[in-house]
Amino acid sequence: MSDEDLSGVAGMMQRAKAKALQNIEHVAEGVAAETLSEGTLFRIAESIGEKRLADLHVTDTTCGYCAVGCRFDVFTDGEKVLAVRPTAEENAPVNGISTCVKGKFSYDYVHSDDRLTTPLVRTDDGFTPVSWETAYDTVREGLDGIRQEHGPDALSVISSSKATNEENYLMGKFARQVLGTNNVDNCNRLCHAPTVAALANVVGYGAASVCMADLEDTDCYLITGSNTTEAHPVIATRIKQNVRDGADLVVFDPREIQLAEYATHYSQSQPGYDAAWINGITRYIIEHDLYDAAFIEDRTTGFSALTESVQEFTPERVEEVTGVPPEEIAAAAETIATADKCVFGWTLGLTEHSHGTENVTAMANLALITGNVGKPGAGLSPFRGQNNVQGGGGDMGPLPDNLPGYQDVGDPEVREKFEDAWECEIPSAYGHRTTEMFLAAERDEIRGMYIIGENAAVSEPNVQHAGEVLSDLEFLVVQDLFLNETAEYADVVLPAVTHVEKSGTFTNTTRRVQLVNQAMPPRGDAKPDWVILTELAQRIGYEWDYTDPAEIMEELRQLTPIYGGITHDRLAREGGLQWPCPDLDHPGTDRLYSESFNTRDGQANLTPVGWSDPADQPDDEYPFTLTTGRVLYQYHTGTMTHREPGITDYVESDFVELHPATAANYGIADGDPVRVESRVGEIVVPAQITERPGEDTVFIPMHFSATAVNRLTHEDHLDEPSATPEYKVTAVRITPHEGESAPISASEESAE
Amino acid sequence: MSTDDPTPRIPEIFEAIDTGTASDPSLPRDESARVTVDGEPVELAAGATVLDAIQKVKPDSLPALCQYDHPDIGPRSECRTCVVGTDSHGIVPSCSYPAKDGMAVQIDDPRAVEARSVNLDLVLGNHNLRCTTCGKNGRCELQDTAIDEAVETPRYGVFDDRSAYEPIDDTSSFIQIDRNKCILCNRCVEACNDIQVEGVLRMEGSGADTRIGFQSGAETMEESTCVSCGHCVTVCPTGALVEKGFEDATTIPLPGFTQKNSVGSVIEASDRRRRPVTPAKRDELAKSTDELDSGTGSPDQGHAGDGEDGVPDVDPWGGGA
Repeated sequence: MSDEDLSGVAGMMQRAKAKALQNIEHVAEGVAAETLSEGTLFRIAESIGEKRLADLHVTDTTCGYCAVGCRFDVFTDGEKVLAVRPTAEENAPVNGISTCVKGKFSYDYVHSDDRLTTPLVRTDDGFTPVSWETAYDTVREGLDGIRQEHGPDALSVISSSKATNEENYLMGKFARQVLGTNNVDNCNRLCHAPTVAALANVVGYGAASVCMADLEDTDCYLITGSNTTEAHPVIATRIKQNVRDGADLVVFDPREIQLAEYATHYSQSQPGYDAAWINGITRYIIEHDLYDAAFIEDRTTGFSALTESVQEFTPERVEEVTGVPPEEIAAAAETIATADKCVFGWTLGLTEHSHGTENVTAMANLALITGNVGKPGAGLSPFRGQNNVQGGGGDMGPLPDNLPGYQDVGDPEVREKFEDAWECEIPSAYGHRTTEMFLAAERDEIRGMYIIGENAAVSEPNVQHAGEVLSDLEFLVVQDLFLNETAEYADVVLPAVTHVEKSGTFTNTTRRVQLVNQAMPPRGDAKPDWVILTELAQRIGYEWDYTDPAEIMEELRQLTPIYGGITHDRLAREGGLQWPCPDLDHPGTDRLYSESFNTRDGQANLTPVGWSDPADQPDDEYPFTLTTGRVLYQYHTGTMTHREPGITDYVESDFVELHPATAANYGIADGDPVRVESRVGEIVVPAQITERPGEDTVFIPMHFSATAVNRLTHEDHLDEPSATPEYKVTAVRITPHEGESAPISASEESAE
Repeated sequence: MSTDDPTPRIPEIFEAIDTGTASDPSLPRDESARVTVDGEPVELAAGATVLDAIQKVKPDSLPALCQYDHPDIGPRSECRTCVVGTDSHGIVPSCSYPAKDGMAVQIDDPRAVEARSVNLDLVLGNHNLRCTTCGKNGRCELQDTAIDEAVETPRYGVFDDRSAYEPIDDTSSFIQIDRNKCILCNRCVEACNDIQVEGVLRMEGSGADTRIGFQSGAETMEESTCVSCGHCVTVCPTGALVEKGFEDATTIPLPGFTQKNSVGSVIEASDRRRRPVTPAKRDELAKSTDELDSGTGSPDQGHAGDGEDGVPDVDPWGGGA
């Protein structure tokens, strides 16, 4: 009997059994219906339902995908997340009943079979499972060896914006106190670091000035470089509602994203020249006396210098540089300036450039001269990407230049405060930023890394370079949920847990600190990051004695003025608090800068900026501009979403968006494999022909390592103030690929 | 230049999305009201309904099955399980009826009690009462209401003829539709169009054939323009829309006693790949307009059994078909 026959018989038996069970069910229901009243049936069913519900765990917690900060109830049976449903209204102040596909439905990664459940140590035979004690000893020896021989600054830590505030505080503390280095950074470097740098300089805090109500109640939005419906769906939902009810929506983007289709004004800009069109709008508003003179007089400094600096951005010049025609600049300027209140929203399309800080500074200037900061329904609103990049990636200070609460590590008083609290010496010189760590490692200045919850082998610019650096490290510790692409290079792998398996806090994109409550026990021997760090510090010889994340919050709030009044008890009672919240009686701050700016003189610093070319520019050889981003049904490098069959049904590979005219020029049909080459690398991806990008722009999402778009990007094209890489502009050329690319052929086979 | 036009312009795309609340009665927004409920006086802000008044005095004393506490959903007056008596206007659906100054409301007006009972039985008469295998068992608003209202034997029976059942639509990766459990409350349609502003769901057909359908004319969830945001399944009061993975979590734990077995027929997901990955909204809406023009997928024709022909093959990637 062949295997096929066997499976035929087995299949028949299976079907027969299913049919028999169905018949039993039907007969039983029939008998019940004939003999019992509907009322009795209701009561029987309800008692079964109640009993089974009682066996489930229902926990309110905060979403672990993007940073909108949705809260909801998670239903689990102790092993799997079964469903996500709305929680009590007062516990979900940001989203109410709203959700998106990822936050509501995408949890298969939590119970995925390939979760790491035990520590692994690399031996000659590959990875070997070991006890936690052995793993900790191996980490201690590995780190200590490099520390002894090359000093603490030969080590670095990459912390995780997926982890809680409490855990990120410990990651920063671990780097300073245990390792003795300021070489600690996180994924904010690859996303909104230019936002933080620019806003800190202009208005004082590297964070959104708005609260959620401002985003819902404004009269006008200027949204740029944000594919909001796909990357921050619940914010997009609020924007769409408001535009339906009459608000203006101005969108500038190189791709005509879905939000542009809902917009009252859309302009297609050239990737890499955002400061130019923003300055053009600012110039138009000043030229036509549409600015808020009283606000500028009372609340800002530097207006005359700004006025002078924008003179070069005449409509003609802006068109020449950005491709946006004068009438569109004028229309956008009129809409923004005549609105009573306007929200300025952006994500990485504005920041991931070799001059991202300039772009964000130009945006902040525009918001200020129109008087749109610090009042209801108006403000600066970067949409943060990772669930906790605002809190864990910024506020908690796992940063090379800042201690928790954006306190400058170069300031002796600040250092002294933390040195007293942590009983250690903190170096005064800034450490390396993430992208610089990889460049420094190439020069052997960094020899050991401890990477927590960051898939650097896929997410760093120019992954060939990142891979070489990771494989050349003397010692690499990776702490993650999975044996991901980065962990493949590790000497020790420590199994961590998802946010549904632990407690703590996340801070959302509007500075709202919210509770994360454990809904399930940790899988296998995996542990929360805060437990791993605590035990490791103890093993190395430090007296860390945390037994609950609430204790860590208690410690950090006393060192971090903006979190000074935040405790877990208060968060549970008050449903979240927005920082700054300086003391226990303070209600938190829903909107920043109502009275004054967080600058030395309380005034906003209007800061002249020009414009710069992107570091990589198209030429005859590489005629197209590649820009990168996300799609709705995936998340970052896919660690969480590739394990969700429902998600991969939608998107099982990256693809390249080509304008129909571009595709026709090259004889490329929809679905054809296309070779995309930059000056540093190449990939082959299927074509998706769409009018979204302009004719000179191509777009590739960043979700799959097999076709990693970061094989094309450059590791050394960095924004100077923030060291953020230029993911959004790479010169490329395209050619039809002979033969088939792996992902597309797989898809066609499975589709037959 | 467009800026010369001072009137606010709503982008066309919004007009292409059917609003779920199009038929809702509008409430006066300008005057506050003082009414009595069973003799007890209540002060109400402008725009309040009779149900708002009742909730202040005797919370949760009425079924109000189609009502949902969200400003963008309803009131819809679909099920009329919330009717009450008034001195001035006879019996009225409290969920949508404006609270008018001076009105006297009697919850237990005998005519209203009878109407509520009849209306609840009408809902049950068109509902497949297969609770022990239902994804909402123990969490169902209809089940709770039937028990609260002490329904023993519904006047019009229940919808138990399996041969008349529509197949379960199990084609979405995330949301299961069992139209046999739908009470046509319209919450999902409003959640889709008025909260998510997505334009996927609609009510289609009329009379006994009324059903949840898709604005694009698609026949199944996977062929629809759904973005799986989950608002519809969140607001559904019964087992008509259930999160997949949760459908058998509170059913009777016996082999074979599953939601799919109970209904008997299921449309499973095809191997069709969803393309394009980042669809343009206007293309999706244009597609649905074409279909409406050509007659396929029109509200009166859309029903199970039309087959895949109702949806043109727009999948240039060669998947499916």
